[in-house]
Amino acid sequence: MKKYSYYPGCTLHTSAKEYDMSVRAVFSALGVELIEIEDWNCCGALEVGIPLLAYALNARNLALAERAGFDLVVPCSACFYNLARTDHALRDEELRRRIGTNYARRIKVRHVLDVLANDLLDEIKMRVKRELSMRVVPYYGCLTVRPSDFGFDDPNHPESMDRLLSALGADVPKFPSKAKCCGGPILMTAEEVPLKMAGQILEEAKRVGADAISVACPLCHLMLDAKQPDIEEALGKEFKVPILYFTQLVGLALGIKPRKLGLHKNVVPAREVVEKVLRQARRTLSVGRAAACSKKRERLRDS
Amino acid sequence: MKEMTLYVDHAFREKIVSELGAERLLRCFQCSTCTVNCPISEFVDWNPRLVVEKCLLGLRDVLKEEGLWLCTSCQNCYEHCPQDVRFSEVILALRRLATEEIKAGRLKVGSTKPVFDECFLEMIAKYGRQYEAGLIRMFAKRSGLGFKLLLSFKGLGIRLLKKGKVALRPKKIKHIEEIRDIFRKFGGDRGEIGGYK
Repeated sequence: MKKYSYYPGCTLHTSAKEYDMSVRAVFSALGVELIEIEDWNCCGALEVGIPLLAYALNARNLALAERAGFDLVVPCSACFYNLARTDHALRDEELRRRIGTNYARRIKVRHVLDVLANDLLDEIKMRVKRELSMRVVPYYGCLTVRPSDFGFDDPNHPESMDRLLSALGADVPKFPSKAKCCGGPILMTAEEVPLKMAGQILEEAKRVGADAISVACPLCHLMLDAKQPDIEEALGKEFKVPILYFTQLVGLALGIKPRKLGLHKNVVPAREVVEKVLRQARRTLSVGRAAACSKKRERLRDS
Repeated sequence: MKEMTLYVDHAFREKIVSELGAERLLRCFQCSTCTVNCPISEFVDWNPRLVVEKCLLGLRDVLKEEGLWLCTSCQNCYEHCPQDVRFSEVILALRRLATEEIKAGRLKVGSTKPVFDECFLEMIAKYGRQYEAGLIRMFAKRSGLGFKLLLSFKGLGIRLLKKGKVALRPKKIKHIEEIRDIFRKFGGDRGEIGGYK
């Protein structure tokens, strides 16, 4: 059985519970084990402006993962940025000595999106139970793909999520805002700016006729989902666009129950799109059954 | 037009460049790629190229830039700079210098971001992980926004509570002494403040 170490990060235990639920459900459906690293600490998010402090905090997590011996899978893009950035910086032996870590860079830091779209795509395709019959735009945000020094996709025009969602049968239109910033990091200290930034992303999603937006970062999700009513009020517009974690969509396609994917925890209700997918799946199933029956009948008649 | 003579303050310029992350500042050839790619400058009066120019001239005024506290760390400037100046890292360096000035009482800024970041760090030092409810309470108190802050985020709070997505109690990691040790070594004066002496 394939194994990875897992670093959920603080938000996956609170505001991004559905991301945690869907990541775990998808990996278990694929027969891949995730082992949460023991006693991990906060990565510092984007609030630690002291490089050595940030490196030391993240080196502790990296060393813990290294002791477990498997590559480290990270769902939150800010955590991924911090861990990957530290791993990258620690190529420098002098720096390793300075912060006093025994981390030897024997493991790799991977974003969940990278693992699902690049390592496990074939396994996912093999196990698809329902086609995602919906129009969904992929939104990557910033730290999922930037900086490219330690990234896994194009920093301006990423396409790993596009590929993944298309493989699940979704209609994935061009979305120029896919790697724009949602403004999340300054939400608490300069609210009016991120409301406008996230508003532009929602507007563009509406313009291309999206049924939903797919995201890969808890902060992007908070901005676009939980703050969506505030954005609507500030801009005087109505969006009502469901914001789903891409793992919730993968889980739906794999036939996992919506509740297990935390689809009841999204603030903007996802029920309509979920039902659309389930309905379409039932229809395909019954069409498939009918086709199989008529084939059988033909065979019987012929014999 | 009034003429003005500007002298480069080499000492201050050196001070910036000697900060970790700002070493590449002198490579800048003022092409404005950072400004063009900055998502913030679309909404507020903030020009990254000009900020670099001020650094190169050693103008202490640069620490008064309100935009310093609006950076979202989106890494667009870092990614696109043809000279690999890494402006997003320069911002962190400038924030550190500004925070020193604020603490010494020599600088006042309108943004509450420096207070927020301090509270954020203190939560990590206290519990090893982030505790949002405690963070908001501490931030409301220390920023002086108090009830006003809680009121402006009331909607968000209720929505998250309804979905069971708020932790009402902090979770302290087992080996918190390792985190405190890290803060004592690398946290500057933060090693001894607040509840994590």
